[in-house]
Amino acid sequence: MKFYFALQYRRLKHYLREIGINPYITFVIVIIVFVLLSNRFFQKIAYAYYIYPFFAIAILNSFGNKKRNEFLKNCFSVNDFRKIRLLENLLVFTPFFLFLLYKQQFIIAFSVYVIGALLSLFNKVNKFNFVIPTPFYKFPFEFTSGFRKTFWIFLLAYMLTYISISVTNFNLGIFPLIITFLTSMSFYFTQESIFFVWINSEKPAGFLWEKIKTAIFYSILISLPISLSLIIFFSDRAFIVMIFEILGALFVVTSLLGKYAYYPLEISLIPGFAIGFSFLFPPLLLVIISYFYSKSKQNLGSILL
Amino acid sequence: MIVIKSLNKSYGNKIVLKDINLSFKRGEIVGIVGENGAGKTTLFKCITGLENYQGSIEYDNGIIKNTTGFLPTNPYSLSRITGIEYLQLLVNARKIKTSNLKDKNIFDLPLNQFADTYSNGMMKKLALTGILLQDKEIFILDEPFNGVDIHSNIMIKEVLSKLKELDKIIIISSHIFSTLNETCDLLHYLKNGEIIRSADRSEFEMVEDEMKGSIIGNRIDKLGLK
Repeated sequence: MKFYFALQYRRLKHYLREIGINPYITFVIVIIVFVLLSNRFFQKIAYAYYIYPFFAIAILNSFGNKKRNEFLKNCFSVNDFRKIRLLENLLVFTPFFLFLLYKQQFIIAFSVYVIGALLSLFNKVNKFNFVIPTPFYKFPFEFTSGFRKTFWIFLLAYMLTYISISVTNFNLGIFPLIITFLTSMSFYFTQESIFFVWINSEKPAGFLWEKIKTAIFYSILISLPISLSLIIFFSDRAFIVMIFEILGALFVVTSLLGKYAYYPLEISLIPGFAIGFSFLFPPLLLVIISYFYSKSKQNLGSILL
Repeated sequence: MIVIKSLNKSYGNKIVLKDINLSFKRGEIVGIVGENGAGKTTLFKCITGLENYQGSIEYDNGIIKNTTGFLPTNPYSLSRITGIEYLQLLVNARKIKTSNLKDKNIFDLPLNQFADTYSNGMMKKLALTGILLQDKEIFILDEPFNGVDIHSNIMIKEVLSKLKELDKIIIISSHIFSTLNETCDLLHYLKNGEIIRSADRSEFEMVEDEMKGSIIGNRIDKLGLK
């Protein structure tokens, strides 16, 4: 069991080195960014204490993967398997637990730990075989597949919008809008097999254009219940909602183009930082989008003849 | 017709394909046979344009990639996509207008289930249905009979003869010599990245014997089974 955790640590270091980052510097940066973002979250969002644990649960999602758990069960005894799952979950929850302690939210902090321990008993929640109907089936696959994996985030976001309207808190209403676009962005984080690009009859420009149209249309569609509700109930701030809609769609397009700019490899460090920086300075998106677009076109040229 | 001349492929220092010279005609089913790691899949990937190579691969009717349906050994799946959505993705990708995909479900697959829950054989049948719906001229099928049940095996053989009748170019690989024996017009035996023997129907038995001799030899005797 000790070897298992040592191996995971080695894998993480190896992965970071592979994408060109010093692991130790990364660990320090991750801690600083975590504290800064958590602080910002607690400053900006009402009822942050209740939303915050969901971030930890979202991270845990991949640990419950059925295949991964079957592999672990094959390798370890039942007792060791349970210990591994428990320790993994508690490790993920620890930073959130410590931050909640720092915020003197003792009850929530300990509840988070208990939830973490209990979740170690279950496999991934969305691994059931019930097919969730989606409005995205006509143009598979990113939104069809992504929506089915993360539908609960959207349910939560719609619920938060309702709460924001009932407590007339506009900032709380913008948060779920951001979450929906961030989730849509995440649909483009995983690289599909080269086969699914190769099968397309389009040239790179046509292929990218189709993908961009689908990404914009579907990401706006998925966020529409939130933005429309906010526009209706906070009509004096409709302009802000519209700005967030446009920016959100642009970020989704950036994520899409970023994927194909480096495809089939994963996006490297500097462009990743550039996207991160554009969250603070959105006009930068225009430069990033045009750069990623021309790089994607060039990159896909060898696959889409 | 596809003509391959002096095809070489290597990964770093490891040479995978050595000086391959082959041609594939319309209305002919050509089998590529060879043990694991002989280079069959790499050869297919080179033809489809999924791998870079040295040498030339020419096709007299446009770009190979745009007219090829490729069935990989282990068809790629996408998570949380149903069988019907998988087929939709494949026909969308080639801009083909097809009405009611469910009617084209020749293998009676549970199309409303997630494709990532399919067994290997079911996934193979789904992927094969997908490429058949793509209306292609060239069919490259890597181990099409692997993992599929007896009924589907018969169905695939029928599909292959229909494609042959329609004058398509068909290239298949298999470890199961009997299936190649029944379906192919021509066989190429690939060993360590080289074509060491080509044979038409009249010579298939001889090739099979040569393969047995070369692959098995006296290895089983070494086990000392009693």
